[in-house]
Amino acid sequence: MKPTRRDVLRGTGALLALPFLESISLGAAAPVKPPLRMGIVTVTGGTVLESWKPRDVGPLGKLPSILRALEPVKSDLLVISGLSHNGKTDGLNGHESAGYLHLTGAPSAGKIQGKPHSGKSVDQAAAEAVGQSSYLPSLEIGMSNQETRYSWRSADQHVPYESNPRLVFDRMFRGRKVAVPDWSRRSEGPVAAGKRDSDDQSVIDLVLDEANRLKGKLGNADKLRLDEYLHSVRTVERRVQLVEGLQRQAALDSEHPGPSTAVVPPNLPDGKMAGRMRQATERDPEIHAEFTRLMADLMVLAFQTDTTRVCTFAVGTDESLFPGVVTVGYERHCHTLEHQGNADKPEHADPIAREACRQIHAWYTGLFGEMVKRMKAIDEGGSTLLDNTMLLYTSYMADGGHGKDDYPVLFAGNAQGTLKTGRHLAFPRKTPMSNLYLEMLDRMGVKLDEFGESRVSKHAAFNGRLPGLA
Amino acid sequence: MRRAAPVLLLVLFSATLVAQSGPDELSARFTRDVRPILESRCFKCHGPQKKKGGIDFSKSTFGERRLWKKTLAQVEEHEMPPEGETPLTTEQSATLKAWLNGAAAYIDCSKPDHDPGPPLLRRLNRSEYNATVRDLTGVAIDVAAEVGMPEEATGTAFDTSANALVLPPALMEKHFAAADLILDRMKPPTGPSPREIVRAFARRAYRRPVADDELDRLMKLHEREKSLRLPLKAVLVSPHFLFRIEREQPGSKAYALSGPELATRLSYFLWSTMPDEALLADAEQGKLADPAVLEAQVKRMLAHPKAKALTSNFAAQWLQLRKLEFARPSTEFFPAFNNRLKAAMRDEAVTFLDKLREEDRSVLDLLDCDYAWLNGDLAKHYGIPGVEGKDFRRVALKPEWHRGGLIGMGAVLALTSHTSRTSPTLRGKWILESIYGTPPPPPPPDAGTIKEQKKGAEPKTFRELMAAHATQPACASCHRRIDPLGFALENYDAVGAWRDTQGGKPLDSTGVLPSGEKFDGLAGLKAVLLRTRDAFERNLVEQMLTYALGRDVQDGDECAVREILAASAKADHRYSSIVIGIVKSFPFGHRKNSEAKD
Repeated sequence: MKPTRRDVLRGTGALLALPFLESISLGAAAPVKPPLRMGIVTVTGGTVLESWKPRDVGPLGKLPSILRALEPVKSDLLVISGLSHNGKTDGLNGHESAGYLHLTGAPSAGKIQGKPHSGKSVDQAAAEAVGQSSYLPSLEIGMSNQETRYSWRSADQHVPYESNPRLVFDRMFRGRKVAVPDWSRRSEGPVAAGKRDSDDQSVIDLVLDEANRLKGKLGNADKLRLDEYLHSVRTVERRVQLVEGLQRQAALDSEHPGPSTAVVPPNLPDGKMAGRMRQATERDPEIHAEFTRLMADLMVLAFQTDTTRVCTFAVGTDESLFPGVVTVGYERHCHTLEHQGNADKPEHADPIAREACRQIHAWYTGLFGEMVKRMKAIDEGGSTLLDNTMLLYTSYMADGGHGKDDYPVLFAGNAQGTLKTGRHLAFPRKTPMSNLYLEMLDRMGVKLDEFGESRVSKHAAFNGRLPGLA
Repeated sequence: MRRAAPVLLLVLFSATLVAQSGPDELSARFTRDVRPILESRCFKCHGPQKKKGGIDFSKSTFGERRLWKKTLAQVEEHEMPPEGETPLTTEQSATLKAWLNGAAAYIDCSKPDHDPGPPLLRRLNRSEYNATVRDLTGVAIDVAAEVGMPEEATGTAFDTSANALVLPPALMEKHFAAADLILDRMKPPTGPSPREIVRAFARRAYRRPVADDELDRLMKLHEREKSLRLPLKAVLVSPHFLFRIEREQPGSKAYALSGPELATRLSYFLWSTMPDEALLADAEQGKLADPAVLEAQVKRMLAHPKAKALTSNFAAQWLQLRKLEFARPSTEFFPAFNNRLKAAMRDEAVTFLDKLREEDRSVLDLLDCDYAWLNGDLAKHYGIPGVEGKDFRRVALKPEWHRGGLIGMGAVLALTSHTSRTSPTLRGKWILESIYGTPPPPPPPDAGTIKEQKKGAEPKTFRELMAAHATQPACASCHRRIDPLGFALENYDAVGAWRDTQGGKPLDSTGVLPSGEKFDGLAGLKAVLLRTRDAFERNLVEQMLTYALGRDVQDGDECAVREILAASAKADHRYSSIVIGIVKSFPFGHRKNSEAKD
């Protein structure tokens, strides 16, 4: 028998249409009020602290120049100073060293036989706990690169960032409607799993069987790789079983949408354009701004549509050029400026390069401010999306000289009343950033005794916590 | 890909490479000269009592090559004896280093222990996957990009490095999506029956004959819908397809790979894709065990256009050419450096490497030669007259044009520059990494933070601080090794154009090697490169072996490396001689079982 073209093409490509879900549990009762989201917006290059940190602690007065764009939303800000990373790193350059510790607060990081290791990052720890409640456990987007690895699922497994806006969007909504939940109706009970006996399930059953047979014939080292394969296929399997229920939930949301309107960014580039966009951002600040706004829109959309409750957005790259943003001196290359503009103390640095760094960071904050305003305008039924988000704005280095002392840290939004905003809160220099991450996880419902170096740091303080945030 | 071996560098630039000392002499000198120094200066921490770092010199013999290599590095870098202890006397240090150099290089290859290294299960990497899909199904689009597979996160290692080729759930998901995409796009395969169609497809996908019971299981999926889609999809997400599987064989000794396994290693090494029918047929019939057949296959495959993968995958990573796309020099400062010129620079390097392979020339042409592959744009940029048009052609070089070999290529010179200027440090680092395989260690994390000045001192300019940075002992020890190599290239501007002056002032392109030897400009550097060409060729062999094996070169590979180099020397260092040497080497053709079974 000669098979026809139809023979080959029959069957479904259902899996193509499925989102990726790391771990899904059914039966968790859905919240009746909007859930708390955790967002991290982290810009490259450290900051220029004297133009970032408010002079006085307590109520926020006129904001320093880098933060000035946030003046209209000042009452929604909590600026925190004095936090540091004290972890030891081995065999890493300055950028890697700060990048690996950035969201992990790990007591140590480095490379073992060329393979990077650090610790579990705050976003992944949150995703592990709340990820099963939404379509994607977490979303990692933006311009992280091999030096700036921020997100780690475990000490030896870092999570790549997606820089192609089209792929971010596809991952969020492939096979699923763009719909805003009406949280007051979200008490419908658990979604049901899909049928066990699908075509894709039969393919999965077969390859799992092949992998298990193969495992018996391999040596120990190879078995570990096969175990990884088995784990990954089983994860896909769980997703297959759940997809139907998730699609039903989305359909339900679109029948009874919440009070706000979801806007799909009209300027989403497609295919090749999207790939090229990233490259163009490094050369042209206008495209850089457009790219940053687009990704910020996607992050807001992801929260608004409950696609995910944990999202990290890496903004900018150290390699970017800033003609037009930087208007002093002749150098426009961010990385060069970071180095020239930093020294042991500000007055020893090249003042022109330092001013250029300040201009770059004020520019980043302007874009962040736009995002905050948009979130504040989204009504979730009596509270705004900003009210329901713990939005951290920071950088992977404290300053452009790879410094890890006194990071720029601020929250926008009061995280459902668990952060008291409109203030500058100062901690003694060297207080671990890990303490902050522990506080953030606590608010996400993750109850831990320690995180990163919070207990083991030689600068451990406040019993691993940060008093006075609320 | 890059093994940190700063010690090699010092060896490299000492007057000559240390000749290999005989075992008797090493042993005698150990007892007479070396052990007393170890006893008086090292035993306190590394002796029978303390054994710091697991090292006890009291039990050491001269044959422990790895230990002596490590010890040499520690002594060379003044790491040992540690701060606070009395340093070695000049005499002690000289005696120790001279002997350690010999001991670190000593290996008895007359009785090699034939260790093929650890067994590794390798996943197809992104580019291998795309090429394999193209050859297997005829779907010639960038499938990996289409479904959004992440870039391989191998860092500084080759993207063939087995340890880095993990398969997290997010990637597995993309493989399911990719399988659907491929099946949507591929022309339906034909054959006498569905069973035979699936058999043929799976054989090519698995790169080996398919057993009947395996086929039975696949055909159950066909019965389900009377469609080929499900069995073909299962093949495309099967571990037999996504991984290059090599079976264990009984016994504890190393054994030769099966024919199909060897064919698979060979094909992914030379072509970055699956074996073709000619290779797979020879493999299944056991013909590859005949060295003449194997060599003939290598020669056939090297001449095939698919062997361009050796340039686009191996050489591009080895020489860091993929960084050219992100080269920093901007058109603001270098109007000539537009995308067209940048593309021409990439094509120059690629054409040079492809032609080196096609014409089977000496790999030493990479260090220096009297020809270049240029088009009109690039020739104009280089100031070479008489070359017109877009197409690349071979141009016979005159000495006054200052080109020939990697060092004069715009690609190399531009990818190591800053936005507005050259960087002697980056150029020097490139030479250490790519030419010699001895990268300098990364700068310490606090390198950017310049140390606080003494109280009361006048604030200094940034330039002065930078100069101070380079003279801080921690920084200077590396910069002294890196920068002089780059200074010799100062006659090339940041985008590789030749210049005799800078800002109207004559250029200072003199350098001093750590050995104290002075050299001047490009000619001086070329002389150094040619004098140390053995070290270059060794690095090329080690890099290519690393790429081919998917793991770092280890101590146990040393004899294989020496054999490959010896064979190459007899064949005028031809490209093919190195490739054939690698394919015939023990680690390439053999494997062993994992050590413990559970």
